[in-house]
Amino acid sequence: MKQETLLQVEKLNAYFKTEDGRVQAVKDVSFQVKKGELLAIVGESGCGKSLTSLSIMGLTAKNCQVEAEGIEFQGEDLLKVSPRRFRQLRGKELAMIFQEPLTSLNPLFTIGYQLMETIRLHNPVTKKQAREMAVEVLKKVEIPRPERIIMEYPNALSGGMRQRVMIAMALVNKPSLLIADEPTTALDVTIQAQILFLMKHLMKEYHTSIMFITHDLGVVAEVADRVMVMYAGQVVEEANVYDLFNKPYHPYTKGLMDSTIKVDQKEGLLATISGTVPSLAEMPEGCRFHPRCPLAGEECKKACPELREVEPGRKVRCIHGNTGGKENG
Amino acid sequence: MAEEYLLEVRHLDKFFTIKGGGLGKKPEILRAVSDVGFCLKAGETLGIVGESGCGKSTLGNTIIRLLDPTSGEILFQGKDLAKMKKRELAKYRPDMQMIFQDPYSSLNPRMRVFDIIAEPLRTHHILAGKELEERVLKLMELVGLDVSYVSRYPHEFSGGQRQRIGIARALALKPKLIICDEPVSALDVSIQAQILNLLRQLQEKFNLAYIFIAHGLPSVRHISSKIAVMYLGKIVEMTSRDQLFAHPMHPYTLGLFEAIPIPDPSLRKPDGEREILKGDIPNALHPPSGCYFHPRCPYAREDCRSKAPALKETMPGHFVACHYPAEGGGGAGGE
Repeated sequence: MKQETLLQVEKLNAYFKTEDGRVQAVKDVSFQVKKGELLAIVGESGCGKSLTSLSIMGLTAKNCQVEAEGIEFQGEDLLKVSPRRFRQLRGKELAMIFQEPLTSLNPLFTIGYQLMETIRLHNPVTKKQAREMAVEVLKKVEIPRPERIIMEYPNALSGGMRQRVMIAMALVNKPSLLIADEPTTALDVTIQAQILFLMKHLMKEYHTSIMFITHDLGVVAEVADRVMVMYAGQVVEEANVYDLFNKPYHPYTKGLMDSTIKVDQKEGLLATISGTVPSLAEMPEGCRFHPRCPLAGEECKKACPELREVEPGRKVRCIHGNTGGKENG
Repeated sequence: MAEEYLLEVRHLDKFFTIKGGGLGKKPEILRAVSDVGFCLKAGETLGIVGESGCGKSTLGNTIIRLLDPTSGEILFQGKDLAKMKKRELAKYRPDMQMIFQDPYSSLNPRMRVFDIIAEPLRTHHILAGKELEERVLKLMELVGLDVSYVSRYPHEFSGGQRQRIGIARALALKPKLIICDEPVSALDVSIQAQILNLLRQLQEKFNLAYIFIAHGLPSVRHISSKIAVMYLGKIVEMTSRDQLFAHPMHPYTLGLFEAIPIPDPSLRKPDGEREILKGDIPNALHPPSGCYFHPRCPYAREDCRSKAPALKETMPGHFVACHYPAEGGGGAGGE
């Protein structure tokens, strides 16, 4: 079963210019998103997951420098397309939603105005048609009374409703790829469940692939087809969701899973990963995880292991390879 | 012992008056906490769960009198804090401390770690000089901070380390009760586990009582002995941790449980089989009539719209505020 590749990222590197020189925030990240799949990118704060997505969208800040061998999206290299062409793609073929819907919506314009702007920018339609399309898409994201909501300002809506509006705005032009950066992190858990369900449902209806960025392994288990785990700017493991949760290979993945509190967990102390994520300026030599790794040996301090394919479709960056996740190496 | 409970809260209300927007608009009353009651023994943890706006943080702040209660009693070792004047209250302050959610905004950026942890000891004139210094270093060791960092500023620490500083500050006065207001929600997963473990170890060591306020059910479950579920300012269900998870009775509790993502894809339920709570949390200024939960409740009947249910002891030690609670923990109304 071969799925078509929608997005192919080759050796993406991102640097920040700071007063103390250039620091690297994303290092040699390569991956692909296939048509119709949901790829989850997981990691803790500072692991480079958001920067990876912003680099693809061409939305990085001025002090950030992005280099890559290629970011191929539907046959076009996003690093080489003209700014004009990129604008045509963004919002039409490539859409993005963010963690905090309130800061992503302009408080001075009505929901309808902002939705119609997106529609009319990419489609040759009249105002009246655009309004109909706006109402239609708000119905799709299950917003009650959409005819009234389009006249409201963002502040009149709850967090969950705003995120629905953002999803509507992202999907109205039927993009082939939706990048969702922690879309439910700011929401309450019952609302999160609603939004996740809605996204899965709309993904099928609109034939959209999703790149879902999150720190929450529970959410990953609920929605993902394939998972990429990032640590300190690098991909450390990649696998389909069932294999990954069944048997994590990288010690970091295993540590994350063990420290995630299970619903049925009660007594005793929780497993933890000792220490903290290293800062960009002080990356450890060798494997970036070795100071926190229970399996680390002398070799781990010397050279950073390659990300290698240990089984078809499974990659891991650890010299202990596919024994890393087992109970005893 | 006459005073079996360390803390006993009875019929606690906290209302806020919201001034109207324009001229001639009447001020409105926001019932942030209404008719809340519970008991807590030394060494116990009461978990308080609920979604944003349910009043859980207001409740925590009211109990230690950062906010003045509108009415009700807060009996701490048998003495009613609710009616105390400031000066009298000051005597009890060292016994009750607080840990906050955001380790970035709850530490003064212009104070060194030493001064942050020493501040409560200085304020209450407990220690000074050499003794103070020894005590601060000891506290840092206790919470797992490297003592060589003693003269650093908060911005030099990671989120997890800052939360440790906050915990050391809370422990400085040897409190009996610590209110933990979302102490781990701002932290990364691997750090959350570290902090939860630390809180647990400290509890055993000092026989501390915790009120653990959080929206994340898994962490509350892990640390609590008793759990209260709040919705729009009221406790809708309260019982022991094990009983709550084995036999949840309030439809809202059931909805909350159903919404927690399960970190195991093999347990994923097919689309449509999950019962996801519909609708939004209502505006607390204009709560629905009758049972506050009825517009979202899949089991709501006619009288739920008109009559608010009281918190009743449905089974020994299991309190539920629902006209038609689930029997034996199935779907409400029995399954």
